Amino acid sequence: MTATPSHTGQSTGPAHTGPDARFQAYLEAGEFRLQQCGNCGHWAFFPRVMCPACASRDLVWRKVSGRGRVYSRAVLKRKPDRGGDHAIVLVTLEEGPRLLSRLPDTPADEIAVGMPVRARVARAGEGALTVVFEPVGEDG
Amino acid sequence: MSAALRGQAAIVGVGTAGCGEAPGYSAMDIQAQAALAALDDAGLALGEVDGLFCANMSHTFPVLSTLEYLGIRPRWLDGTNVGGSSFIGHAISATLALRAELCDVALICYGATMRSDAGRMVPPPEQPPYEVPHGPRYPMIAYALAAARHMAEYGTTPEQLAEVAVAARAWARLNPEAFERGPLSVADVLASRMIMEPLRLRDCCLLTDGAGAVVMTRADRARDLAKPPVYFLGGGTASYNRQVGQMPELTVTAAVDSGARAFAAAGMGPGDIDVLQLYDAFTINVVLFLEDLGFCPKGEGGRFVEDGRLAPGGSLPVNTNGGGLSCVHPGMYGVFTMIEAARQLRGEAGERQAPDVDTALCHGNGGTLSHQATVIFGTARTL
Repeated sequence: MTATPSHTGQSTGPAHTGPDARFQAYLEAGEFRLQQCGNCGHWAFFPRVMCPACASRDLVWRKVSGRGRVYSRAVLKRKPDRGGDHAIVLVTLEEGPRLLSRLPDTPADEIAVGMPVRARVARAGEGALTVVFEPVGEDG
Repeated sequence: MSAALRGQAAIVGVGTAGCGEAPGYSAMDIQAQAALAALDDAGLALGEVDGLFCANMSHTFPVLSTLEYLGIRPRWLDGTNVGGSSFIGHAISATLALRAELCDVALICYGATMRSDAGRMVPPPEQPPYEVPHGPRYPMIAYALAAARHMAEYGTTPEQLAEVAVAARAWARLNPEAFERGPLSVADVLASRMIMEPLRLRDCCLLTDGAGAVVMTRADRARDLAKPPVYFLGGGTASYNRQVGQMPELTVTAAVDSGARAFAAAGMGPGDIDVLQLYDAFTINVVLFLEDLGFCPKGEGGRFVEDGRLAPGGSLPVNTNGGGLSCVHPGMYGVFTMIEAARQLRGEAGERQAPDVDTALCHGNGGTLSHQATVIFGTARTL
């Protein structure tokens, strides 16, 4: 199922598709889109029905660059038979929003605060699609 | 008019129960024991309690379960639950309710038996849906991320974080009620197991059972009760976010605002505070709160805590009971900051009594660096 974006951000897809389902539908279509406020330009994450910066209802789903930087990192230390070290990052996107995520293909000790990263869509186990990241060179 | 509540109410009784391990007892059992101990301390009867303030992570309706257990019918209830800072906020709203004569005797209480029940920290059931799929471990993830960012931004070191744990332990060694009383050095902290990089086992608070209670009345009545009143001088709360990913800056907590509000209400500044009780869920918390409450500049917290400044004999006594790191931490710690503040202000803290205590600042952290609450208490000399 792919929701059809419209300029106003109002869903033209299923009648009862709210912002969370809309976000997920874009991920299913391979697109990383977030809501940008049509009034003040603020990019919002997580998905919602109003702009948290100016309270406007005019949120527009737009593709984001996917470019960002690791804002912080933490590594849950686990024995190999418990899944091994598990690195969690906060990434600040160029557009402003910050996401808690992972760099699933990058060893924990190669993840540094400040490093440039790029988003991709991945499935978290059996669950919903999520946005994860991978390292890129400084020139992106 | 934020100063309107200054000196209007006071802590008149404090009590604890089941701290450490309380096998066979429920959270409500030990909470009731703590409440009765606090009322005994004040010289008040349970039947006089007509204002009740509770929060916890074990009950959907903490105030209802509590009033039912205690067999009381309070006319004013406040179940505001913003995490472990709730109780500091309750002290502000209790003062407000007392001042407005919505109640005459306010009981603030908490109890939990996570150590005996689950053997682990039981976080609230509802967790951020966009964070959970990535496998963070709550609540620690927020503090590990904040510590890593503080290290990257300001050069804060593991040794400096360890100083916080060492100071807490040095106080705990003077407190017969503390859970962990063995010697602890910076080297010991650094040698402890890495749990979630950059935080090690000894950067983390305890997980104990425990209950705490605080009784407050209006100031006029407080003067006639059993113990010297611990006056409410000012308080403030602040929150910007629930999820750690939504925090505007990981190295700047809402304590910047809660602290400024509390100081403005009390007509005081950091230089006026004799002892601090800061919710130390992790060592980084103390560094962040010392900065955000104005005891040192932003980024300087690591250097500030060096050389035993916070420890017994240091120039700024912090967490004189041993804190959540070494004394007691039953999941939510906020009420214990006020209990220790009262004991210090009354001069009844025994071996760990800090010298010349007329003012105490209590600071609570709720959620995962999500909510901050600050209250300043003082002796009669500060009125």
